[in-house]
Amino acid sequence: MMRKLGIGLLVTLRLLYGLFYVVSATNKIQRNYMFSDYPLKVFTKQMTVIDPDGLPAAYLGKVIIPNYQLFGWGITLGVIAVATGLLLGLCTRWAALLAIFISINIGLGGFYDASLIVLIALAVLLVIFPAGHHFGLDKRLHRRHPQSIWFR
Amino acid sequence: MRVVLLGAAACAAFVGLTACSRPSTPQVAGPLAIDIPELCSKCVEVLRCSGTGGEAVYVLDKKGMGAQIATIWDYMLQAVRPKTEDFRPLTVYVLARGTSEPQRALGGLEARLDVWQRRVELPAAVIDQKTGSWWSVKGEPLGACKHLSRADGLALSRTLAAAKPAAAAAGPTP
Repeated sequence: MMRKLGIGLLVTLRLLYGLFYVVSATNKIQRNYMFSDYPLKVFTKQMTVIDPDGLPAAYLGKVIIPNYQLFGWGITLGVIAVATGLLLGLCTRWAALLAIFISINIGLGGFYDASLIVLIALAVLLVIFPAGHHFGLDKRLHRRHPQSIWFR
Repeated sequence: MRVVLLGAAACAAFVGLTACSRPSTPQVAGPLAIDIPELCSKCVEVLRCSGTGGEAVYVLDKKGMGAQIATIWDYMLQAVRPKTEDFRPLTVYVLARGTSEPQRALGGLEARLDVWQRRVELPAAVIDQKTGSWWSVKGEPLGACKHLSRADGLALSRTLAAAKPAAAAAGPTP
């Protein structure tokens, strides 16, 4: 009974987390993150908000803003990959790891608040537990490719 | 197959909800004289108002930890139901006319952002975000408000907080 409840919670978490990233991906596509200078505007505006001597300002100013198009592409494709992976239970642990990587980068860019801690903690749960092995493609693919690290 | 169907059903349900639960009245469109991002939980917004209603500075502070975490739901739900309101901790400073010297400071208040009508609702006043006009809750014009830049706003709010104004004197809360 407890096991079934745990699995149910884990799958629900995975799907909700996936939906969160669907919203994020929709937002990025609607705002044309890949083919416009919209991300540059966002990052430049963020520079005016944060402490100019802090790490986020250095990361934004020296890494993100000079490569804003690369980051626009990376963010958009990254959130699409996380949404797809979590909703389908495909390469779930890797999708959750990618979500953590994205969250850390968001934090490093100064866009952090307490919600980021919760999002990272929930993603860690999806890395630890095999959420893709229940109502997910990982189960079938792991059977077919037991040596592969992608479907564990 | 079952997995793909489950994922597709979850997405379809989400998109379906998105389509049928949007507010029916149109949102007041931009550009806005006072643009306050409703999903920014750590932004400090400072509005300086002056006119016949005197001079006041409204400091809309960052949200508390619980409210910051709740922005996860806000972010998700905005695809299903656009956010129509938000609340921010508020401190009001009543200034001596023509100066940046606070006569009174009223903390522990709350401002409501009417995201749909683009108004900032304060304890005894309302600010129209489209025009920046400042009104009493009864609809009497009080003057106009300016949205300070983040850097200027933060500097002013720190100065005002450090000024330790005299104990609250009698008078209405702007």
